[in-house]
Amino acid sequence: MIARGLGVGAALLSPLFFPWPFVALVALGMALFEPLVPLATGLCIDALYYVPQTGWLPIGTIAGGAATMVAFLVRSRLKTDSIGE
Amino acid sequence: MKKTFLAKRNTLLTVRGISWGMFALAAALLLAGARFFVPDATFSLLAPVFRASDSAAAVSRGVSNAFADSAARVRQNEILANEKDALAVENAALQKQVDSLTSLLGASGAQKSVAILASVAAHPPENPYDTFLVAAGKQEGVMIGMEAFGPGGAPVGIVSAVSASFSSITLFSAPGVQTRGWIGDKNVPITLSGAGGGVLRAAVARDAAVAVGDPVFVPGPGMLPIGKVARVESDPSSPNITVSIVSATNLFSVSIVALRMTGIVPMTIATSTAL
Repeated sequence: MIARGLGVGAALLSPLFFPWPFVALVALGMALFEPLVPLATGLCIDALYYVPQTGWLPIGTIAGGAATMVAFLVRSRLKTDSIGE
Repeated sequence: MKKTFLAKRNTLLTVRGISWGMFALAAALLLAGARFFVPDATFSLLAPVFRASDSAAAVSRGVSNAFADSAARVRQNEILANEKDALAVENAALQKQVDSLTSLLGASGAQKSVAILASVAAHPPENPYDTFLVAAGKQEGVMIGMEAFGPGGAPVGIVSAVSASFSSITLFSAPGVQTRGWIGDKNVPITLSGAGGGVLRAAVARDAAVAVGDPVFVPGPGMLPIGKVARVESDPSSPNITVSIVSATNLFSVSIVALRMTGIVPMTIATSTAL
C-alpha cells in the first residue's frame, strides 16, 4: 500500500527532475498497479510545460490517456480471464 | 449461534474507497487548474524545484565525469581553454573591424536595444515541448515577439506568451516553427524547420555543396549564427539534401537568456498574451 503510494508520488514528481522519456517509462511501469497514473502524469507534464498558444496538442495528456485506457483494458481482460482459476 | 458482523459504516466516503491513482489524478487536475488560472503563483512556487532539478542534473554529470579518464579530461580542458582564448582574441579583432567599418561609413551603428536578462526556470529535456519558461514577465518589460539569445548571442527562440512574472519562449527547434536563414560560406538561403529536441532541419539544393560543420545563420539583426550542420542526408532520387542542424547553444543546460526586441519573427509561430 505504502510502496504503491510512493511509486505514484515518484511518477508525479518525475516530470520536474527527469527527461520525459524516463517519465513515460515510470508512468507505464506504475500503470501495471494504478491505471490512472499515466493520465495523471501526462496531465502534470502539460500543466508544467504545455503552452496552448503555440497551437500544439497536449501530447502528455493524450498519450497518458491512451496509456490509461490500455491499462484498464488489460486489467479488465486479466480479471475476466478464466485461465488459471 | 452465528454472529452477524456488521461492518462499520460511515456516511462519508472512506479513504479505502479511493485508489492511489484517483489521488494522483486529483492532484494532477489541481496542478493543472492552478497553472492555468494562477500561473504566476504556481510557477513562483515551482521555480525553486526547477532550480533544484538543474542542480541535481549538474551533480549527476559531475559524478559520471568522475569515472572518466582524469588525464584525458585534463588534456581536453587544456585544449578547450586554448580554443576559448583564441576565440576571444578573434572575437575582439572582429569587433574592432566592425567598429572601424561603422565609423568609416558614417553610420550610427547598430544600436542594440536594451536586453532583459532572464533566468531559465524550465527547459528541455524535462520539457518535451521545446520551450523555455523564464522568470521574467511584464513586470520586467518582457513583450511578446522579443527574441531570446543564449550565451554568446546565439538566437534561440521567440517569446510566445507572457504573464506578470514569467514568460514562455518557443524555441526555433520546436516542431512546427519555420525560420528563414542562410547556410554555409556561400550564404545559401534556406528555410529552417523545427524538428524537436533542439534540432533543426532544412532542405538544401544538392549543388549547394553543404557539408557537416557548415555554419547556419538567421536574421536578427544582420546574420547571427544559430548552429551548424550535424548531419547530411542525401536521397539519390531527390534534387535536394536534408541537413540536420544542431543549435549553437546547449539548450539542455542554458541558465540565462537575453531578451531583446529585434523585430524578427519566424515564418510560423503562434503568440498570445496569456501564459
